[in-house]
Amino acid sequence: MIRVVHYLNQFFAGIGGEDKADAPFEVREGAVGPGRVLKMLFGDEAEIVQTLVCGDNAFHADPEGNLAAIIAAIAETAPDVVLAGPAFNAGRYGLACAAVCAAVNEELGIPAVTGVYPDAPAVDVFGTRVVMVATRDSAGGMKDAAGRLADVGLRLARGEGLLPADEDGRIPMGYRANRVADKPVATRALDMLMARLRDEPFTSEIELPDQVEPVPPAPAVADLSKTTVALITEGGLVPEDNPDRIESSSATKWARYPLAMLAKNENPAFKSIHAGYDSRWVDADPNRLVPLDAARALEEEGVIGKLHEYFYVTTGNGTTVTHAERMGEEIAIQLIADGVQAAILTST
Amino acid sequence: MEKNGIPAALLTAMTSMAKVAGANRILASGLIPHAVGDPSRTLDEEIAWRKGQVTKALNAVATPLDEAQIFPDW
Amino acid sequence: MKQPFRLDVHTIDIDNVEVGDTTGVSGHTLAVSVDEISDLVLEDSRIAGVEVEITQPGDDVRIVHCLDAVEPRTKVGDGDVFPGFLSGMDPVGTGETLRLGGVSILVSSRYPQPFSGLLQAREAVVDMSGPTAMYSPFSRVRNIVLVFTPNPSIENVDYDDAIRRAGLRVGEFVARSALGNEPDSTTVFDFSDVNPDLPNVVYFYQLQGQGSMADTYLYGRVIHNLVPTLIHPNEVMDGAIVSGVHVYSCYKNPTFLHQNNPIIWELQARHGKDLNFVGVIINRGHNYTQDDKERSSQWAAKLASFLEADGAILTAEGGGNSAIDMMLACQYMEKAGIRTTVVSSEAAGADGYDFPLFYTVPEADAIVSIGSEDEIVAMPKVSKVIGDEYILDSETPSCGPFDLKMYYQYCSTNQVGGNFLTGRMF
Repeated sequence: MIRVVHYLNQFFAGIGGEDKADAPFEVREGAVGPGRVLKMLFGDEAEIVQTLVCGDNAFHADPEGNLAAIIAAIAETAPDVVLAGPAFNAGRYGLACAAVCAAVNEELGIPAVTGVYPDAPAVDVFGTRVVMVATRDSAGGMKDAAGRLADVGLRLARGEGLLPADEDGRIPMGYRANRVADKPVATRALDMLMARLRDEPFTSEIELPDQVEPVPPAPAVADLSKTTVALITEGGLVPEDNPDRIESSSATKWARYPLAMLAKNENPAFKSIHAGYDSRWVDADPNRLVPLDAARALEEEGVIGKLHEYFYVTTGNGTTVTHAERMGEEIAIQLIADGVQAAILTST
Repeated sequence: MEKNGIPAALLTAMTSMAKVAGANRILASGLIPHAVGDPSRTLDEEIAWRKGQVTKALNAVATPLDEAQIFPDW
Repeated sequence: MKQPFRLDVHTIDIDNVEVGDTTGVSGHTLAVSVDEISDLVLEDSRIAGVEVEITQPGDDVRIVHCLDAVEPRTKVGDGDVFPGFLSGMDPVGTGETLRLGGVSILVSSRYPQPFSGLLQAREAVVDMSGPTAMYSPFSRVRNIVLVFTPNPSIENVDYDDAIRRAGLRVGEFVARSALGNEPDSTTVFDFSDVNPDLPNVVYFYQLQGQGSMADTYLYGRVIHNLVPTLIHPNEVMDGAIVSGVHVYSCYKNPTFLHQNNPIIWELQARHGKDLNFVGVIINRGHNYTQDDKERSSQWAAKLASFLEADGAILTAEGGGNSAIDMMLACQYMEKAGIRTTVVSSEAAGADGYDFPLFYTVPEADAIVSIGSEDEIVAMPKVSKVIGDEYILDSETPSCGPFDLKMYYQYCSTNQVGGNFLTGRMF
């Protein structure tokens, strides 16, 4: 029998409405309120061994203290899964449910599920960390919400893992994973095209993103002849033994190497480890990727004030936006610390 | 770079990709395997050409902008 | 009088492959003579040795260093398959072709010289059973694996040519041994009847042409300077397109999947019912400049308009660079009023939280996902390995266990639809 602990606020526990929102945390044995609906759905497979109740205001007056007490109670009971709510569109209650689920899952390693309305504040705060089934905006949707909560909760308790968000009726947590499709690619592709040609509804298997928020252009440099300029590339040019182990694709690392070392280009020589372009021309002459000879000449002619003495490199092939943004941030911090005022980047 | 106040010129063969990725100062240059190289030229000619590409990039970081721009290739 | 461009494809379904004294088909069993195949392969002195291994779905076997795969096919009567390799430039795609269904000639080898840079054959793995079998479509066919030993004195590019030809020759030889056997089924590829009440659909078929180890061959020639052009689907069935792409193991469209392109089979099945299959436009992916990409994609859209297409399916091969070519073609087709559906792989990062596409256009709002290359797969220990004791470029024993990115699973995110995976939002 799967053992379940259920979390509720004062209203659903039957203590009272807004006037009782400061009801303190308490532990009750067995199922209470919506827990009885869950109990019916569980049949013989699971039981609610304990119900934890806390008033909405009481919880948020001291979230750390309440969470500590809740975690201690759950640790002692050691259930297979914790269910919270459903909280529908109730702001404070949904946040408390999600906070309880996050703490239970992250501190005790016990699976935890709540249910909220997709526009509820809890989704913004906990949406990528907490498993949440989608509910209607009010308790009128209790039957469907409890059904989804029970389905997903028991599946996690059995160790079976999540289904894709739309199959679970969950609010997406923002990550994608591979699954075996129900139909071959060609069938799906032609079905989708035929739907388009017949003006019938269809669902793209990948949603296009919202437009990237543009970065406002940085101010232009006022006088190039007084500017320190750095050279940066995503073309994977590294000393041939690749001492910093920059990945040849899907990079998570960047490095910088002295321009003097690149100018010498022997022992070690430089070569590209980038797995996304044909690097033979760059290997033969790295200036084709990092324009050192040209930039040095412009420095000597006084066109620029100074060439920063390092070049910066990573691999831009299959590199995720998250890592690219982080590495860009890290390189920018280094450049600012070194007094660099402008950069020339090359990409492959 | 630009977010941190460092004007940054990107020399690339794939200007449309650079635009979608959010670069601000974009310059068409070379081919994908060698954005600032041209193996079809003699070495001296190639260096002179590259100096020209870098000069254009420097002019781009010295150009005040209100929004992202693909600089013309001349 | 005008002759329809008609090809009758006869299929013999093979449900067992075994070693025999002579190569031939009896019922649904294919017997393979190791000596006959060795003799055929070793006629080319660039190959120093060959082992012939047979493995079937469900075997506790892992195949490593997979390069090309070829389905056994030959012509019944006049003509040849694999033009430009096994024959000259006479057009293929008419007459009768015999294929052995459910069998692949799978080539496995190291190369004679070390590689550097992009131009290298990367590890490509097939597990024949267990939970990891789903990562390669070649776990679901009977593989005659040719494990080649290179002649150490020759260059990689030359050796690559040798093993490509060897795979094609063995494929044709094995199919030829079944000539005279009764086929189990015959599929007619003839698209000359067009029903004006049905929508016209074209297939935009983008091929990788990036340099050696990353090239596709059209009638035996690389496609580096190809402007989008028309090819008849029947030509593809007869081996007009041959793969030499060994760089991106997961994305790879091996020759087997060109011969069996699932999009073409699906369009064949729906021709005259849902749609008119009005043509295949092949395009080179990995064009090197923005202008080349613009010219190619505009040109492809123009050809689709010439064909009076109402709709188009688009597929590609490779990663971010080739995605740009395909997405631009999608954009220009949509602007020309042609409705599109794009088949795309994903790269959402190992944890799946990144945006999954390399490059998008707003018009590409109907996308079929074939899964993410970034997922890490736990490869279990297996009792037998074909190909090599060690994984390429490492000291990891091939028998496992080890973790392997999807990128190295042979054809796992194959973009013509050879596999069953898809990316889902969690």
